[in-house]
Amino acid sequence: MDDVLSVLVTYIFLFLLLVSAALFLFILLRRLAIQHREAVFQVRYLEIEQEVLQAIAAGDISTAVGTALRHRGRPDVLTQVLVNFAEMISGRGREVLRTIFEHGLKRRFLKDLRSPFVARRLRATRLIGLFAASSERALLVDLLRDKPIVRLAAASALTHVPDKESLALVFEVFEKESGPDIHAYTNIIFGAGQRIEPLVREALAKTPSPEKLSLLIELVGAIPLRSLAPLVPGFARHPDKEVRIKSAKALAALRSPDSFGVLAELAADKDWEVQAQALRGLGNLRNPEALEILSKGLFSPAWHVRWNAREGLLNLGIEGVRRLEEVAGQNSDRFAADMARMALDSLRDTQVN
Amino acid sequence: MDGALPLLFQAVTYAVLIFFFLVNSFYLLFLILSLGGLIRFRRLNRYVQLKDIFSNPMTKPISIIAPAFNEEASVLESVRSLLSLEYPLFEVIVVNDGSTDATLETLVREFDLQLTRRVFRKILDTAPVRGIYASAKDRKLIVVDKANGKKADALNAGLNVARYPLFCAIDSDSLIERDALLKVVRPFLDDPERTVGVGGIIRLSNGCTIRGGQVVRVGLPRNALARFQVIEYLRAFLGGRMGMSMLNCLLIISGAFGVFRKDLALEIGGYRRDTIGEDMDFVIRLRRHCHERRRPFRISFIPDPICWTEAPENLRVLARQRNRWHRGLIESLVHNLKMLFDPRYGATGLLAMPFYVVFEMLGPLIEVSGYAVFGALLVTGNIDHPFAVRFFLLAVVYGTLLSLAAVMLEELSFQRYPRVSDVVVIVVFGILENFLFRQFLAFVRAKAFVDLLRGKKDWGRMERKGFSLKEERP
Repeated sequence: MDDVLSVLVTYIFLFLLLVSAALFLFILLRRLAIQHREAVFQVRYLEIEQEVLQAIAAGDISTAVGTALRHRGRPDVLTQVLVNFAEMISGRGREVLRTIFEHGLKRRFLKDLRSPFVARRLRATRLIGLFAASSERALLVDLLRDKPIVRLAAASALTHVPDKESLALVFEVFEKESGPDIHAYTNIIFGAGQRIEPLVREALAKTPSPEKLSLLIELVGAIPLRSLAPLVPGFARHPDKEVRIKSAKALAALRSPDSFGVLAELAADKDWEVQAQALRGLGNLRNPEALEILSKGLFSPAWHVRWNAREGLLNLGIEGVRRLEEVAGQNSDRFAADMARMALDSLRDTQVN
Repeated sequence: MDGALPLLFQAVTYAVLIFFFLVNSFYLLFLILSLGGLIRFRRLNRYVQLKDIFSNPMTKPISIIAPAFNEEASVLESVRSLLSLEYPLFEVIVVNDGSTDATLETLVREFDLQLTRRVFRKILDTAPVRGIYASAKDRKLIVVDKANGKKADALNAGLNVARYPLFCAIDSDSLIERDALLKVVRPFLDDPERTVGVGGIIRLSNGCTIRGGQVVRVGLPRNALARFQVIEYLRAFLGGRMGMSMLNCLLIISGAFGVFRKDLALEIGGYRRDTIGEDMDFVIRLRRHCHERRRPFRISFIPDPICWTEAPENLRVLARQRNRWHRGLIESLVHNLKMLFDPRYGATGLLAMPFYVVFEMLGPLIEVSGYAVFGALLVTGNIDHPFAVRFFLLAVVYGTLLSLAAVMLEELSFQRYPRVSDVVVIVVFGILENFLFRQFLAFVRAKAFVDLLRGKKDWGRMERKGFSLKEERP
């Protein structure tokens, strides 16, 4: 038994020694190869960058085509140059970049859209989204049925395509999506800005699940979509707490004077999270009529409610400060008094600074 | 008796052999999982624009809580580094945990701190708070001055004062890379319902050039002890934690850099004050809480957001640090032992807890008993010399392979050490650590059991040079 063990240990030792040596060599050679590749990449990058800059400065399509044809054999470097420029350049310069992409890289990336490797599909999605013409959005639409990560990338790329149909497609996927990815879609949709307004309006009318509804309402406030402000009060009495919170949050962000009544109602909600958001909204409105509601908020057992009430009172100016002084002077509620004193202190700090 | 002793020695030898193969196989498995995770992470990360996260209004604000105890030498650099982070909305809460040096005075002087009457909810019990200071220079900075109550108590005080829904627990002697918060918050955006905590990678700042609270040039330390720790950290973070995160059974997020949901932290009563391994204990209790409430959750490790920390450069301080870490680990595991092998706790109870109890907690004891048996066999002349030599060489080569695999992960992912010579030095130290360094750490960790039984609770002094001193290095 001991002999067997001894032999086994010897063989395992030799095997691991070989693997370790091979791994070490691999690490070393790989690093040397990468350093060499990076140095070559850098030289080529500078060369292509120079040419692309000249093409942009000339605004000449034939120069751009020439650059693309000359460097299409170096797709990695050319791609990097285009992506880096795309983040900084818009307008006519962008057209030059689009031309270079069209003649130098497009065919390769169209092929990559159907690659079995996710990383290639993702890269192609990003590039097509950045440079392809809106008529080519159909290529990305196909990817909306791909794996979640590719789906998200395609949706993200489609939001940059300036036409209504692309956005509608993204929205359609969002409506069908369930699970944690829906939050990622909200982030993407947020990037589309005001263009998303008609689709959000439509989606709100369809009464989606409370989770999606609350996200849509949050978007209304976050973007902000002011034309949808009149729709938000309709959700303020929703049975789902999250929807009410997001309604109050959206109204707080939109600062629409018409929302005073709804916010006042939400300030008396049974859940403190809703109350806190509503008080923030009332504070943002700077409406003197909110004085009593905000003062009452200072006596809430929930810290966040008291904090938002204090912020609201500070927003009301001299009347609010007077009320804070009154509350700071009373002894019946220590927490309310503390919060009021802290607000007054912060006011003094601001004045001193 | 004559027959019993060799039999016992043989049994222990076999036990050590089995343990050795099992533990290394687990590490290898984690390294393989990490490889998959890192490739996936790199691939996904290529398509994330940090400026999008910055401008997204759904990015939740973060309260950074930095407990400080006698950090006079490094606190300024750390706080400056924290205040210069790129993140849309955050506050920095430095909790001066009853420092006996000039930590508070240094902060007051540098940041023009003024005592405020800030009101906070005392949800978690802490040692008395003596005052809350606000900075006239930077409104993001708040300093809580309190009586000493150890790190967990300071973190709880910070949690009481924190205003934002996420909090980032850090060590005030660490430096966080400028965009680290934007990177670490990503899982909270991608999966806000399930993500409850995210940890980042910790790297060693020894040997790096630091300017304006940021690491501007990455280099290897000159000190051999710190070099051993570089390879250790690579193995632990890129191998172990990444691998465990892939299996969704991560039990530890380093106290030096982790972001958590504040509401859940408050639900579980914050950090446990009677333990010195508060970071691990916190994560285990968080997992336990979520499992018991059948709430889907995820605690992730992100290998990119980087926190730099200073490693001890002498044996005495290193021994104290590792002894404390091991006592903390034992306390945390024993406190939550009910999760062990309990299927109600999913992968945490069936995989992570057994792994940590057998290999991490008891590992040093088994290793040291192996050395003891080896010594006894040597003394009694019962040793099979060729086998002992071969086994030792096998242990060395297996350990080296694991270190090499960790270096490979680093190479495939971030390549933070810029020179080829750095890679060679790391590999050489990965081999050298098998001689004496590993044995030293095993003894230190085994001694932690004795210290714990004796009721030792102290942290031990960590002597720091301070980051500003390193700036003068060439």
